[in-house]
Amino acid sequence: MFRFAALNILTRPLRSLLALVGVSVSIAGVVGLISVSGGLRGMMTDTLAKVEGLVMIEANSVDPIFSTLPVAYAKRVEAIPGVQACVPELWRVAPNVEGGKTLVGLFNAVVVLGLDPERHTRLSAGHVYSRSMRRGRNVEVRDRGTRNVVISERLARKYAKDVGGSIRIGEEQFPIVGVYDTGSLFLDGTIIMHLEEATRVAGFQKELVTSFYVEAVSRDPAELARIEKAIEAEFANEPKKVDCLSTTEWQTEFGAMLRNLDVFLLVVSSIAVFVGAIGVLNTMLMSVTERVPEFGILKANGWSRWDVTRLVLIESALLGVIGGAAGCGLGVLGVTVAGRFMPFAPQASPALLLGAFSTGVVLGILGGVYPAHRAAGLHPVEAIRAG
Amino acid sequence: MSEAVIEAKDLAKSYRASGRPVEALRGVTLSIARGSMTFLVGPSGSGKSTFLQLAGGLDRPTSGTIAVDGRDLGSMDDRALSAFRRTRVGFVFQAFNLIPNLDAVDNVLIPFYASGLAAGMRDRARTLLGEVGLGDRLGHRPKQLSGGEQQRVAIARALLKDPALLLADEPTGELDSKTGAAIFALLRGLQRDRGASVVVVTHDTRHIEPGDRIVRIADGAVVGDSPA
Repeated sequence: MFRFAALNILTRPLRSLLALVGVSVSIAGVVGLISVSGGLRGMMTDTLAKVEGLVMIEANSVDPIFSTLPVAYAKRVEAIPGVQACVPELWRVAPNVEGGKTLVGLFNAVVVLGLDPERHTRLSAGHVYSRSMRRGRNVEVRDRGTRNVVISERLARKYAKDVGGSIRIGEEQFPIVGVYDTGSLFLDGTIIMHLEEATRVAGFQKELVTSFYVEAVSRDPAELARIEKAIEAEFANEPKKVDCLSTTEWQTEFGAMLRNLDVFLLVVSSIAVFVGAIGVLNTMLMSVTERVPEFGILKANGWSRWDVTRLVLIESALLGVIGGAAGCGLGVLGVTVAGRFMPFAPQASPALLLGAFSTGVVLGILGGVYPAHRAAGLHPVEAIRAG
Repeated sequence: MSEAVIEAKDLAKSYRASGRPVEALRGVTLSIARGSMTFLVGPSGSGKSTFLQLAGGLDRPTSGTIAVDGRDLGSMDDRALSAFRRTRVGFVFQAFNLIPNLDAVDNVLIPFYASGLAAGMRDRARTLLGEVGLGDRLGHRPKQLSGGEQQRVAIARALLKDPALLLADEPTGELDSKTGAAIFALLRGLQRDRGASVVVVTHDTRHIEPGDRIVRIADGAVVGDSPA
């Protein structure tokens, strides 16, 4: 029966091809959309995995860039038992770099990070940027009073700069002393300089910073949670209250954002799948209508209702199998090509492809249910006469 | 030869055509003996084909009963009736009724495609096609065969079941007289050599031979029943 079903599909190549296009395009769309979501999630997870400590920002600020805190908070945090070091940081969107705008998208913004190298030396695990140096060196104590900066490999490539050269930020030139590469899209848009220089460039008051990087003595999550609460309690009565966020909490916040994206993707994917199912339904319905006399002949020769139902469902499932496989192939191809132009790599995981393929098969079968029911219900004599 | 293969009692069938009620059969009582050659003759629209369809389990009676091999077809469910059509009865239609995208061998195997038995019967299908003179047309599709050749494929398909009952509805209606004679020779061979009961609906009485039974039907009723 399988051979017969395949033959029936091949006998009407144009119509089968149109149904396959409908299925494969919708499956490719699902693969593409979910791959993008997965890539975004993967990039964020990778980034957060590189940040081991706690980030302390002004209460209710969504990001250090929008936060302002007194630099004096650092000493009070370091006095809390279990805290290894508290490093003040200043994050700001850079004024234009090399004459170009820097806030050109969620993933491509260039930011300035001001670091306090003296306090930095107290970090036992080092900072993510210290651990990711590729050439030259990180900002050190001796850079105080200089315009020395460290840039990422990505920015070095983008602006064709390297150690020994300089980069223009706003109207000033800044000598490059090091190049780092964390591999994270979010982190690699950063130009690092001495905290005092960043304060000057950003036009910040000297006694203010945007945030603090806090390292605990222990890596135990329970201990981190305790320190978090202690820090928030320490400043609970201050006019500038703080939020302390661990990697887990960043993931939770980002996860909530991605869940909204997932709902959107689910709706778009469902529409695509529905359209694909309609395509199969249309093809199978027309095929059944054209073949009414054939079904009459089959029934006259001993085919039961269930046999006819099976034949039509196998045909539509075959469309789903081929369309699902083609859709997965198209999706992977599209994601590979699109990945070259995107700031992160979309992830078409085997589980996603398996799910998308299965969706194609189910879609094919569902599209064949009604046509199969119609074919099975035909009266053999009337069906033969219809020819 | 006296045992009945078909036993119809007060058989009636009515249906609606173009919104009007049509009484195709009006209380036919008829018994057809096993191994016989029976011709149903009569004017168009008299109910001959309807009787054949009821005897073959292609349709259900409105009232009365029809039994084949002692089994009441009206009381069978879809699965049992399908199995009956697949294994007990062979059909030969005027319009051949072959599947256009299958070759001769696969058309012969159609009854057993769904049950998965077709693969094991392929050699027998080839042999049967050889017996009806189509040994060199095995891979041909219906469009590549003449009318007579298509009807031979249909007969081979009926023979594959080794049926106790073969029903033929105007089997030579679309064939020239020479080809028609050859087809009748095949049907008669099936009756004589294999002991099958053959019931033929026809307008063409030239092929009736002494010993055959002729049942005349008019206006849905049996109006004559005699040996040739």
